[in-house]
Amino acid sequence: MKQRQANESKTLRGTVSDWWDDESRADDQEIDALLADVDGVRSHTRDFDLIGGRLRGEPLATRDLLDSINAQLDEIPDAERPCGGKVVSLPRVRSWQNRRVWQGAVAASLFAAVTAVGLTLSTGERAPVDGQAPMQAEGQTDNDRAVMASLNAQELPEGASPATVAAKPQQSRVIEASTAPSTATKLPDWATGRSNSGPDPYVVTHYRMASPEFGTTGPEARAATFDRK
Amino acid sequence: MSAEENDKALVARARKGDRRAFDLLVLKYQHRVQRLIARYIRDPEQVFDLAQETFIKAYRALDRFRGDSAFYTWIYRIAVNTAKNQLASDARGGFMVSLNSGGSDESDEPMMEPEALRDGGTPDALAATEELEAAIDRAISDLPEDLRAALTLREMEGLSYDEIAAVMDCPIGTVRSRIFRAREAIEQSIEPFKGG
Repeated sequence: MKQRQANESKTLRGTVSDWWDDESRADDQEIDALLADVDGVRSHTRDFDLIGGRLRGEPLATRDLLDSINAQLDEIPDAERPCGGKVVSLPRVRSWQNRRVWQGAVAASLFAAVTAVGLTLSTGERAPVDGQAPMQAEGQTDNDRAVMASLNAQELPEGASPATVAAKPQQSRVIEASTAPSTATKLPDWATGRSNSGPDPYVVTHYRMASPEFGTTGPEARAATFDRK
Repeated sequence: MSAEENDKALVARARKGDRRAFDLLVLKYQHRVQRLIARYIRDPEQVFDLAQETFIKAYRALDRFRGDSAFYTWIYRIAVNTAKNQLASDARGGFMVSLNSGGSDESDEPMMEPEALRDGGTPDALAATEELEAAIDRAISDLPEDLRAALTLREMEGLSYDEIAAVMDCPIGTVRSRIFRAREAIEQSIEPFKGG
């Protein structure tokens, strides 16, 4: 038993010696061996540092800081650790429970949505009136009727409010829409191109007067336009 | 697997949450980091604090270690920056330290010989340290010549195993074995002198 331990220690020391000198041939298995006995590695590295330091004439008083570093690392919140929660694997039962919670939440949401749609349909259902938009099918309010009455240019009886008039049945007047252009506004001939007499001399004259270049350099041009008139 | 790849493999494991992997990185580099900081900071207690801070910073920033450089380059840079920040902080606080006493501020030139770690301590501690030093000296001088030569070339000259093999005209496996056996012999010799 002691012999076996001695051999293992010797093997570890050899591995640590190579690793310490950056001459390791370590593959993953040897790294695993180092990781399996961190205390052994710690003891050997401390000795190797003492030996090297003495040979180089360096001070010996470096400290083993591993414990104090680990104590500080223990105080780091999980969120600030390098693994950042990436490797946190929840137990199977826990993840199964989480999945059930999610499934329940989704089912509840679906049920709520279906219920809401059903309630809306059952309470808001109206017989559609042919040719009417849904809002029209809702029926006219007093205000709507008053507006319609005014559109129909009906005279309100004296002392009657619009609401009173609107309460009476009315025949709505249909106003046909027309695509023909309105002729209410007449443009001058020179603007519509119906005249061959050129632009309005007043506009031309005042345009040129407003423009400094033309106003100062072309008085004869203004005279020409007046001649045209 | 090279040393750099080794370190990167440990970093990868530490990132996945294996704290023992980070322990190994601390064990490998803590003494070197302390000596590096001791070249900037005189107070031993401050050196230890800053070395700890260096590793805490490194641990927190492991996700940002992209592996473009070697881990030791990265951790040394953190250590130097931590030491320089401390110097600047001390200077602002009225504890005047000349930033130009060794090299420019931008360089990583050490400011002083690393005597800072020669911690006086109690007389008993001093005596124990001297005893241990003497034991190591004796153990080294007692080594067979080939073992002592290999270990000396490694520790004092910083030669790689390949280079030592070339110097000593022997296979690299022999170098590996000699260095290991030298360390083993010294470890056994100083065992009684090691305190806690």
